Amino acid sequence: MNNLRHILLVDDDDIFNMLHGEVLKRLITNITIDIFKSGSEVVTYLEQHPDTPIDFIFLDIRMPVMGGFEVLEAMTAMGEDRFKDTRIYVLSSTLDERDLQRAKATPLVADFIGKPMSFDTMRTILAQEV
Amino acid sequence: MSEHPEYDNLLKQYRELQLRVTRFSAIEQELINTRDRLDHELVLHQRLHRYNSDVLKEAEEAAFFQIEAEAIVDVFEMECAVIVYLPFGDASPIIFQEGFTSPQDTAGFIAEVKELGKLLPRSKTAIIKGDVLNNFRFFSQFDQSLCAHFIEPNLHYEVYLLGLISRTNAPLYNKPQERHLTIFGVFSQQMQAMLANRKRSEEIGKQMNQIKVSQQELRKLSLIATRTKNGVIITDYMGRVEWINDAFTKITGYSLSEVIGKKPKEFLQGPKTDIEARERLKVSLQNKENIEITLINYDKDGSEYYNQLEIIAVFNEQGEHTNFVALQKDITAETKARQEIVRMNTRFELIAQQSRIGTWEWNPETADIRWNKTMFEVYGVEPESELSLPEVWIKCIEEREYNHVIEKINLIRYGHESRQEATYKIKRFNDGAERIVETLMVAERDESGNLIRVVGSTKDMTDEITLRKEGDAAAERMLTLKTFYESVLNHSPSQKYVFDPDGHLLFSTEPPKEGALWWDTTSRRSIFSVQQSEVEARTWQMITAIQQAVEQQHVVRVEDLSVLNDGSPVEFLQSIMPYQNATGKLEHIIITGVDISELKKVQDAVNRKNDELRKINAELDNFVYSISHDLRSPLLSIKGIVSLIMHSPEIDAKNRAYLEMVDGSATRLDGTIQEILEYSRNSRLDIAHEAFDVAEMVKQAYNDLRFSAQGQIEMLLDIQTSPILLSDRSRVSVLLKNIIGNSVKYRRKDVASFVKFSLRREHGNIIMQVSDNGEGIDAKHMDQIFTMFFRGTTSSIGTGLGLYICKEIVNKLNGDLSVNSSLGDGTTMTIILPESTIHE
Repeated sequence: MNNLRHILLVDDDDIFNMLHGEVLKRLITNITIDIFKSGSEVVTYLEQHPDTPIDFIFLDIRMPVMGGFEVLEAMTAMGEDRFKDTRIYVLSSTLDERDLQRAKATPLVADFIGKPMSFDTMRTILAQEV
Repeated sequence: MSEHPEYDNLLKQYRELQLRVTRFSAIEQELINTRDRLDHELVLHQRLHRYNSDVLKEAEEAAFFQIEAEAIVDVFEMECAVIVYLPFGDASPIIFQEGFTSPQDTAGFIAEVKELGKLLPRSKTAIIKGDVLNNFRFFSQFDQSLCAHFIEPNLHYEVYLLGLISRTNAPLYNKPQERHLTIFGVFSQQMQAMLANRKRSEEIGKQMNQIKVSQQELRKLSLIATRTKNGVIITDYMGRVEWINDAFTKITGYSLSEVIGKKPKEFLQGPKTDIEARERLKVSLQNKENIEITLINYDKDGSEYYNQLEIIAVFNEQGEHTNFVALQKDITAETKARQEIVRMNTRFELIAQQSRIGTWEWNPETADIRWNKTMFEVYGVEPESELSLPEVWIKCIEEREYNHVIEKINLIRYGHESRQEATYKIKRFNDGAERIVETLMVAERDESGNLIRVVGSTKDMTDEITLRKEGDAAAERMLTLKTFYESVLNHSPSQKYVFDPDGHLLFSTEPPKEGALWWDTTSRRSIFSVQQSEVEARTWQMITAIQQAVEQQHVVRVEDLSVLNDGSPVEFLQSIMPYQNATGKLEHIIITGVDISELKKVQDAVNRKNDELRKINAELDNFVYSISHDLRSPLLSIKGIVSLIMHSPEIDAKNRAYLEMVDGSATRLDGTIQEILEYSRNSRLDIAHEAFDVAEMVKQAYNDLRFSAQGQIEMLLDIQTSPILLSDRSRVSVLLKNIIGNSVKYRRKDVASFVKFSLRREHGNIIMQVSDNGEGIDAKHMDQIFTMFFRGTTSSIGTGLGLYICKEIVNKLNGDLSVNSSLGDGTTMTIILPESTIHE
């Protein structure tokens, strides 16, 4: 767990970004967190940094202008290999079953996590890392 | 004068010579006369011969006599001739004449002829001269006559022949001479012979004829005997069989060879043959009397039959008894028929009794009345009573009806009517009850039309008439109903057509004035004979659909677009029903066309509204999700922050407790938001079936909950059947989340908790059970747990909506939700859902 982790947090809600960042920081010692407040921002970033390795992306669904699913579409368009070493989790406070289904149906998505991401959840996720 | 010596001598010689010459010339004359006479006789013979050969050829007797009369005149050179043929006995004489005027007094003439005949030697001929003839009235004018007479005693006749010369004309005729007489005798004998021949051959011819007739009659008789259906036996005088006919063989089975020489009683009679009848038969045969008798006989097989026997004794011309002829008739059938009639009479009487028809007969002469048992019942009289039936009858007839009934009877009695019917009221004898009787009277008359008796039947019709009135009322109601339904049919907005299986129109409702008929109701054609090119597309569509309905044997519905007379479009829903009887045979094709134009409009409006609603619902759904999302986000961030704070090492126990309370409140509020959303969705949204994996769903629910569970709870799955369900995915998901969530929430902290999901199928139902070893539910709360906002404990985390929503969902899915729990031992929730087979 000591090697550097590069994590992207995408959420229009500052509080969640802060919260999730805190949880991650407390659980992972060597970490770089990039925070994006909108879908378009993260897409621009990814386009501009095609070779930057990313370990985790935590992506909110309901965001103004560009939502999480549109981001996922854009990422899919970047090619299979781009995120083969990246684990992407969809985070949402939605209760809409359809969102859940859609998230799980997207090949890039590792899992769907209800907000807020708890310590337990994150521990579990990290435990699943090979 | 000188005397020549020789003179005297010479003179003597001359005188002698002269004498000789005279003698010679007399001889010569004699010779000439003789020659002449011979010549004449020859001529007579020749003539006679000619006549004879003529007369032999003659077939007719009258012509024969006529020729003979002519011969007398011609051959014997008479002036006239008469032949009298005189048969013995009473038969009239016949007179033939030639040149003779027939006398008017035939009897007197015959008497004179007979007198004349007496002058002749028997069967001889004679010449009778004028001096004798002068004494006869009819012959006095005659000078000469040739007479002959002969008698044929064996042939029973005599004949007189007369040739006559009158005084006046005597100088012109030669007088009949001896020589005439000789030839006349020959002539008479020849005629006698020829006539006798004729008569004999005539006699023979007659006899031949008689024989021929007898033969024919015999042939006819034997033909009748052979052909008759009755048996015929001919026996000799001793009664021994000589001949039997075919019918006898047919009746008895015996052939002639089997019975010839035997007496019929030997092979026909048997044990049942009446002894008295046998005796009578025997006596009659002995006395050679005719007899008619009926008795039981036996055929060859031993079967008995009724034999109607007629025996005739036959005698020959000499009065000697020669034969018996027995005619026998198998009357078994008749006898049986007669017995059958007796039986049938009994039966009819029985039927009359059973059908409660009274029968009666009345003799107007003796006023004797006979009733059967039913008659007594109809009139309410005891059959054993000594009452006078005519009196009873008259007393029972309703007063006002009396004349009417008597009038009918008189029509039969005096009016020569053969039958009359009457319906009249009576007052029953025993109880005075008013009854209506129907009577049929039939006259029985003899050959000359005289009334022998009146027979009849009488039936108490009171109950039937009452029934009939009710029946009439029912029929009237039926008719009213029929008219009513017909008018309903005609005024109903549907057009109805009924076709027979061959496609001919049987019935149609009145065609509407607005037009839009698909089939001309006046057409006599079969719809199946119509070609596509002959009709408009709409009619062809109907015909095709009718054929389809008939072939597939079920109702076919067709949407039929048309245009009314005023040009406005109209749409019919045509329902084509092939109507089959119980055996599956097509009887009618019934087509009902309903104008669905208005319905269509309404339906379109409804569809539009539905679409709008669906859209609004979807928008509302999105709206609710957005709201819930927006409500939850800050709440969840509160929870996140609380969690973050609680993970800080510097938090003291008191603050930690406060934070836990904040987290709890937030969690409850979140739960409330979720449940309100679920409740809203369940009540609002249509059921949407889809296939999904319930095992995956359970795992997911468990996973989602696991993170919120503090401490461990094990998930067990017991799935014995396919986990793929066809149901409302999102509702089942809410259901399972809530129920599994409850197991997680109310687990016991002191044991190793588990929640077990089991799935099975029974009778087309899906049965899901979620059981746990959690806290369980207090029995006192059992009947409240599904009520809204009920919470079992104040410490419970829930909102009180969870199980209520579950119940609502199960109800919506037509299923059942039940709970089995005991406090401290855990809970088992059972969900039964009908498994849908419809893929939508």
